[in-house]
Amino acid sequence: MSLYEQERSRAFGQRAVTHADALYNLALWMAGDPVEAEDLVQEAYLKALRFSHQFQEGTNLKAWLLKIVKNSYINRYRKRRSELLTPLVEGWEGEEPPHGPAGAYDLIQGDGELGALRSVVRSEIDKALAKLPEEFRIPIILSDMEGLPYGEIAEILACPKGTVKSRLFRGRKLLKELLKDYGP
Amino acid sequence: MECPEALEHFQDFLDEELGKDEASALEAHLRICSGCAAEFHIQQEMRQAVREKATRHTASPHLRASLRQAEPGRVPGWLKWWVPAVALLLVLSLGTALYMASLSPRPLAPSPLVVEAVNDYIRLTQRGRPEDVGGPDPPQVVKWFRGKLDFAFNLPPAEEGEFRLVGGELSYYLDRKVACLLYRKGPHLVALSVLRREGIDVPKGSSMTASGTPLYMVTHRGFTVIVWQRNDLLYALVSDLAAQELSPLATSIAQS
Repeated sequence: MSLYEQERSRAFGQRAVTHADALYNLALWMAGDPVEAEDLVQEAYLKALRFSHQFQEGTNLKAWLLKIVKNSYINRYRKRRSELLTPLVEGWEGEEPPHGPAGAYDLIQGDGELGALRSVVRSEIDKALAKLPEEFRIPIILSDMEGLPYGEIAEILACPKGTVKSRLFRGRKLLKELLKDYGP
Repeated sequence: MECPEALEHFQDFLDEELGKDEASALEAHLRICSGCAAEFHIQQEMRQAVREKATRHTASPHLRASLRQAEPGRVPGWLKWWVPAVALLLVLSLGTALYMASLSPRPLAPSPLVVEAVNDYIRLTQRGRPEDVGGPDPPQVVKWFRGKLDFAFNLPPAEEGEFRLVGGELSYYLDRKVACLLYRKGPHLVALSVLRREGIDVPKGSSMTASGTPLYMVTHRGFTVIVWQRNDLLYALVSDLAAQELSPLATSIAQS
């Protein structure tokens, strides 16, 4: 590899690393395990470097990288039968532990905002998201966590825009159903 | 604007990507249609909940460091040990895999119809409460769907053996509206999806016939799916029941 190539590759690598959080986030929400997720990100990153010349300047680099992560995951776990992952969040990663179900219920007024119980709400949404089938969970993450437009999501998932919208619609409906189940 | 159109525009409206005229039409519809307003509220609520409350994980310093160390054209330290061993394993397993593949036919990728129908079934079975439509009486159910669909279908049987029609709902996938009817047999739910056939291939699978109509059976993610076509409609029956238990219902519906 020429010096020029090396330098160009290193510059590209630096840009790619700025998206490490997004890549790790998607990998973890797909794989359900931090060690596997890190593995996936490293594998995707190497592929990105190797195929960096295929990236079209001016297009969304984060989306391009996320597509590599998603494809790496699919290739790795193509034969996995169960797609419903066990809930991801067991520990509390520095958050306060949640109140017990009874305590939480006392403070919840109907469907109102649960600002005071932020940690409880976060854990419930995390659990519900983890229970969503991948077909719904991944578009929701790409849209609502990564802020990608439908066109980019469609490109990442290799499906029509209409399918993305339909999955978002049904995914959010199911999410709401799952959250209801976490009542006391 | 009517309900099906409103549903289609929800996502764009959420992202403020809807043209001014369509946005006003949608807003007007939401003011008068409590059903759609409720659906829209769910979409808004869940989008906000994920945006603001769900955990967005961050890469550990260790991961970032190992990414920075990885240079193109150079095998990173953490791979060096594995590469020869993995290469040997790959050669051996590839040889075995090729041999195995030559012995048995490769499974086909599941058809999109099967995938979507099963997704919908999973969604419906997650729900703990009764289904939302015109009651279990078939004429009422068909009447409920009229006006919401761009196709018509025959009266389904109210019961068959131990199966009972319990309700239904309108769904939307593969870029088209789908009529979904729900049957129950004891603790088992069965979902019948009816949709326009245009542009969708009937999945290949083992088949049987019901008065000349071929029924195709496949399993996907542990669920039994039976598909058949009639005129320009496709019918897909999904359940956690085994194929032998489900096929009497399929036969009965296909012949109705």
